[in-house]
Amino acid sequence: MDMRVTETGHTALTDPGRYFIDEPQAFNVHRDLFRDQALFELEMAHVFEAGWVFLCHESQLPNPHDFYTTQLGRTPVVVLRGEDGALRGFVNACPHRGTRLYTARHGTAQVQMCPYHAWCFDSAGHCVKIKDQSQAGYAPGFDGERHDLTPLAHLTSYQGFVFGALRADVPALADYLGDTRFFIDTFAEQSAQGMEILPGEVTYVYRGNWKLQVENTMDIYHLTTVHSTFAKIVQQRGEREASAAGADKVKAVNLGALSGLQAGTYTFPHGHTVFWGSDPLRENRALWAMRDDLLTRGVDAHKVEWMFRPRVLNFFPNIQFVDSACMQLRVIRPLAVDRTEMTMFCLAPRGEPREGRRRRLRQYEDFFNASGIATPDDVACYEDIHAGGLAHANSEWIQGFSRGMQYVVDGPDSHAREIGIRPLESCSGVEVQDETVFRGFYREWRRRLEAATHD
Amino acid sequence: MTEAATLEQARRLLFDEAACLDQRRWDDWLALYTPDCEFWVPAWKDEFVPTADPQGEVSLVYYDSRAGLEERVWRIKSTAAPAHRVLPRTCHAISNVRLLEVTADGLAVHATWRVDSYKEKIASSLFGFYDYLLTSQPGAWRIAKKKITLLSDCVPSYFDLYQV
Repeated sequence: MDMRVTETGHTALTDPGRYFIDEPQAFNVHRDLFRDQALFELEMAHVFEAGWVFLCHESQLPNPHDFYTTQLGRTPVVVLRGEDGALRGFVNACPHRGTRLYTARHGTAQVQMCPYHAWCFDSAGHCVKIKDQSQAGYAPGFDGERHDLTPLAHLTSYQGFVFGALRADVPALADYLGDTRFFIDTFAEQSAQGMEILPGEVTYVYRGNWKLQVENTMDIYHLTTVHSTFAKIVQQRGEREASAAGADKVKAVNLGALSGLQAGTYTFPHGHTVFWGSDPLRENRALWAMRDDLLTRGVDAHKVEWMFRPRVLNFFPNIQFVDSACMQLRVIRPLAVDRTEMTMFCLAPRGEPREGRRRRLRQYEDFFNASGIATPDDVACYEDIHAGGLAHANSEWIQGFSRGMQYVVDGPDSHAREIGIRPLESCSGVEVQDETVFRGFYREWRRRLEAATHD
Repeated sequence: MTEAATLEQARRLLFDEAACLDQRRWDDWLALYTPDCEFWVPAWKDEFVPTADPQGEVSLVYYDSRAGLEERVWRIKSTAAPAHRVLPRTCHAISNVRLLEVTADGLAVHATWRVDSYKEKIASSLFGFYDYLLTSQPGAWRIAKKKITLLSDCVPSYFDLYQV
């Protein structure tokens, strides 16, 4: 057994590098990353609260005075659209005694009153009233103090996706997203009117570490085992349709048709990762009906090509964009070292034809919902991983990061060069199911924790 | 038929359905539905308003025929799905059954429900409202529509149709 980690015990993280073996012939992750409560608290402080985190999409608060509540690490946050139409982000707590102010998930409020002592705040976060202020006996200095809501250090949108940061010393959002912006554009530019999050959000909580979800979304290796019943059901629908017994109105992604096709993965600075594949049945995509519009509207031909490729984007640390059959946005909220809340949204191009929208919804519910016929199998596996391997180790190191190691190249591959992006590492070929793509995430995780312990 | 007798027939169908699910008699459960049935579990837009348009908004589950229910049963029976490796014990409790309307199409029935699930020494529950449209078929009532409003919509891990 390698003693690099157990020597340290579980009480202090003096050297985050001890939890990784990152050598030319081996990359290993220690099981403590998934089960150590002390590490979890450090992750909250130095991963979630020390950098950019996805908060919401602009379509979720379209009008002046709309608000949207969410979390930034352990901090409750509210995004407000002011009377001037601008978005601002604040800590969702009254400065007076710290009461949470906005308790609804989202809504509209020109003025929000604290339920405890009735201090009032407008939709720009200004304190507009302190109840019974006259004769209150405040010291003279009180008037000169600031009583507004505490603003986030940063709130910035890219293509309608709103990111926030609690700390000032973060890179500019454009630099943080870097060349992954090409892939965000392949989501956002599907309609000239941009995209929207469709009404109806679905939340579930699983018993397992949040990084299991990060890995799973980039893990193509599991598809043919975990989702074998999904694949078979899709095949049966096709057979029923061929025998005229009934039309397949869903047209889900056919996992059985993916064999022998080109695919690849990219690792980007700041821990972001991308999987892409090929889709031989692209005419089944809801977007297919808008294809002519895309080309006549002058969207870059490369982008249009990539819009019809299955793509999974994993943004460090907490969001995942998936476009396999339909588009999905997954937001990860770690609750505890062994408990994770997932919130899922269906993304769609605005102005989509009704039939495309209907098909998109059926595809989304089929695969992605906690009540669907695919995601529950992933979640069952996370819980089995947690129960089997992580709570009580059979070895200190996980073996799941070696697949595809021989195929990794430094920098861009030919597909990346074609579209002018510069990933740190590329891995592409036929039926790529590599695990090397997880490394970019873990290297950034390690970098963040090391920076924190060297502060 | 008196209203009380009609209500009793509706109650019997609801309780039969619950028994099929709790006893894992999947084919008997399917047989309670018409081939062109609608099965719908809306999602929620916010704290108070469930989605109302399954063709334009997200649902938790939406099927416009029995084929979707048949797929679910095939999946359960296949024993190949990780989510179904160990089926939970379930217990459907249905109450407050009310006959809302008797029309030419059938009976509109509203009820409240709670399903407790127990698996690997962990109990969880989901609860909400049922809205049925029951239709008279030769020899028996059948389910033409079932809408399940899931009030407890932060799902513990995942669920399938036998847990709502």
